[in-house]
Amino acid sequence: MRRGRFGPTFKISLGGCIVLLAVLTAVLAPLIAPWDPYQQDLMARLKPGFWSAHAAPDHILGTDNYGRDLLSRLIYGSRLSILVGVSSMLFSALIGSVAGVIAGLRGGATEQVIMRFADAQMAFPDILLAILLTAALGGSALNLIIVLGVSRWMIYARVVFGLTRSLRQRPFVEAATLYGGGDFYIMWQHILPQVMPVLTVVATLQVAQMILQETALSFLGLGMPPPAATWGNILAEGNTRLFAAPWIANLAGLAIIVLVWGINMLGNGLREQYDPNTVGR
Amino acid sequence: MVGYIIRRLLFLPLTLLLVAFVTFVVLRLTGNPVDIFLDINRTPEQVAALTQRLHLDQPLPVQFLIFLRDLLHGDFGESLQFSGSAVSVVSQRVGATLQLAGAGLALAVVLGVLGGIVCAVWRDRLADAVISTLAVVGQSMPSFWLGLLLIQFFALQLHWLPTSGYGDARHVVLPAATLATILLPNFVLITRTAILELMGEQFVVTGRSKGLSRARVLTTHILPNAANPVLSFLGIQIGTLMAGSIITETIYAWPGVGRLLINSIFHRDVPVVEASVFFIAIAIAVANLMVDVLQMLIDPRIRRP
Repeated sequence: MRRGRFGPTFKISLGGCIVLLAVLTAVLAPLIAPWDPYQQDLMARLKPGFWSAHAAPDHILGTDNYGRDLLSRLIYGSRLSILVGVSSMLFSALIGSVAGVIAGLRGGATEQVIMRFADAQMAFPDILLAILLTAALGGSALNLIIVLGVSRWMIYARVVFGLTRSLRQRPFVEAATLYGGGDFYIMWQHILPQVMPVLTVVATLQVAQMILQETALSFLGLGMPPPAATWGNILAEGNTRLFAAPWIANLAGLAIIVLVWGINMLGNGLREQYDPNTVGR
Repeated sequence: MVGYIIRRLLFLPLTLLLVAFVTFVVLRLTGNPVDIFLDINRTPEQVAALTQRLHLDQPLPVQFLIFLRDLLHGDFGESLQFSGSAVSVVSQRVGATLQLAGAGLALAVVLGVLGGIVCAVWRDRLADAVISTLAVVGQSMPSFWLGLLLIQFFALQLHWLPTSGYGDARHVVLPAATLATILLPNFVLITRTAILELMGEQFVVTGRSKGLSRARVLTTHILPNAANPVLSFLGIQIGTLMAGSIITETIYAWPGVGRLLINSIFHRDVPVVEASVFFIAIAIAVANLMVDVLQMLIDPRIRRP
């Protein structure tokens, strides 16, 4: 079939550039942020940015309700969003892959318990579990990573389980079993290298979902407590000043959407490139 | 098919038991509701009364059994925040949630399927690139920010629609549009994929080669077959729909179960939180069952024994 110009390569390069830029911003935050993101200046509250005639000259994107520099808060916010997004993805990928491989290799009752549990959790909105858990544990960065990780492990478990079950029949895995290789050895040496490409694609797309979940929790007031500079917090604070200072919420929203869109583009491009059969699944 | 439905219904209590267990454990982690609910001037008698009312003086396993026993009677206890039982507090909000979820889902399915058809027919052309890109933008859009943008534009700037609240038909427009946008991109992409996969099938190639027009092959061969993957995806999305309505109801102060849930979490109104979570779990299970039955009705190939 004829393919146009907007194929996988286009998506990978565009998405990759955005992600790279965001990661650089997060890493270099102390160098590029013009202000301390927590420094209050009550004389310069709710000042608009460069687009307005009343702009404060040294705050390019204006200030928030406490006179803190919005640009600096957004730059620092990228650190927490990326940290929580990537770490919770890694955590859920770890739980999910181990559970999926074990279910796939052992089969029988082990498989039934793990996969039925995954099914049950799949039918339950993940944000609801995250809401209940953060309400119980509190919204520190570590808690968010654990909570988000636990709420999404079954996505990896299902993918890895399916692949493992088909790999188990393949000669090289059977041979390794006959040689006396344990579950862990087979998982590490034979299964993981095979599922890695698919896992990478799923994981990339999941980082985007995790970042959205984190901002949603912050928006509901269940994320990291203020004054932490996270994009969700900035958006939630902007929500209360929507009439007087709409740019606060909108710039935070813009930051979220650009990064998440970049990650999604990258993930979709990778999927079309390396795993064309499952596009859209 | 009746047998299948009965077996599915038998599986439901198991899922609900799991939900009950998780909710119970998590809510007992949140700390003592007595501390949060009674003010500083409380008397020891009040503390004792509330502790006894919530069975907090019993050991945890006994509390869980009491919880399960009451659950079987459909009794979650009295609301701490409102007067009346938790079930009656939640059931007053169910109508608003179903109204919002129904409107949002209908909008998302209709627009999403149309968009997906356009994308698949003009694959990798400009129309596909624009719609697919917009769909991915929509997937990346934090729904609460979209809600805030819609409020700014249609309510604060144009004064066409109310910013929030519940009332006549004008109140439902913005919440339903926000909720639909959460689901819409997925429906576009899944419809696009389903149609593209079918385009390679033998019966489609045969249809074209015997001289049927593209439009005719699309309407008679492809679309009826694409209905099934889209429907099973709809089943998966019911959870997202309920999660989305929690956020949407919070943005627009919509008096539904989702907002009640968030509100009750902050007030540590444990009985209402439990009842709301159960309503959501049951709604998802029932909707999924309906989707499955619908699938079997339209596609005899998957009619299960």
